[in-house]
Amino acid sequence: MSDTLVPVFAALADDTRWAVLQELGRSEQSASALATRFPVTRQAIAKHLAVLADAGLVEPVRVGREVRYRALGARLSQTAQALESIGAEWDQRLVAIKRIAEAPHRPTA
Amino acid sequence: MQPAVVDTESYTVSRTLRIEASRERVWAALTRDDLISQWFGTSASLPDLTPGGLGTFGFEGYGEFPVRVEEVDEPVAFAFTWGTRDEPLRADNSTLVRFTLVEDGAATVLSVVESGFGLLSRDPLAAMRDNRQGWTDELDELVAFLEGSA
Repeated sequence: MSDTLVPVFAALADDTRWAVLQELGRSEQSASALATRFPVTRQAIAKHLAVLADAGLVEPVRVGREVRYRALGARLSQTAQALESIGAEWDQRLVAIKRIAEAPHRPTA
Repeated sequence: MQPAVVDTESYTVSRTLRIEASRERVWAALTRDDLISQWFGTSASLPDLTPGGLGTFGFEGYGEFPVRVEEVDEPVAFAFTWGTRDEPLRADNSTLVRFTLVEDGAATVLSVVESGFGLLSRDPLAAMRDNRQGWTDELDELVAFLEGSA
């Protein structure tokens, strides 16, 4: 067990990779989208993603012509990950509710 | 936005957000059919806003999901149960969503708790994944909505 977890710990030992994984835990994103959120190049993000993928922590998902990455909860806690995803969706919904409530003129149906 | 609060023991998800609007306006966003459909699903029908009142949330491509209003305390608390497509609402195929609205000056602190995942008869993780598929599509619409009104 400890053998199989070594690459996981190695992958998580880097602050940027940990932050990237947390970001992907909130939503699937492309390397380009991630690069806009971190002070590193897209190439650096791609390398971090490759390390995370090798450790089984993320996997690529093709969406149209874009390749996005999503966090794989199995390696950490599948249930926590699923709940995180639901929480991330609630974050998005609350932002939408905020937008609606704060709009100077309520959108019409 | 508050840090994520996820309770894996009781299978609940909690979130809180401060909204620069009165509770009345937030309440409207939460309970008016035409406004609900702008943050949840593609259509909403809650014709009976009293506890026990039945309605539906529609998700384009996924059909309609049954909803039962559980709590209506305007403008303090609003809760509903939403279930599984083509099935009557039961404890083992639904989750409870409860909103609370707290006045903070001219603003409103809105909290939401979704609970009941642990009661689902199917494997909770599989059930959440199934739900999530619909929500992923829904997010695309949400993004379009947010960008459209920006």
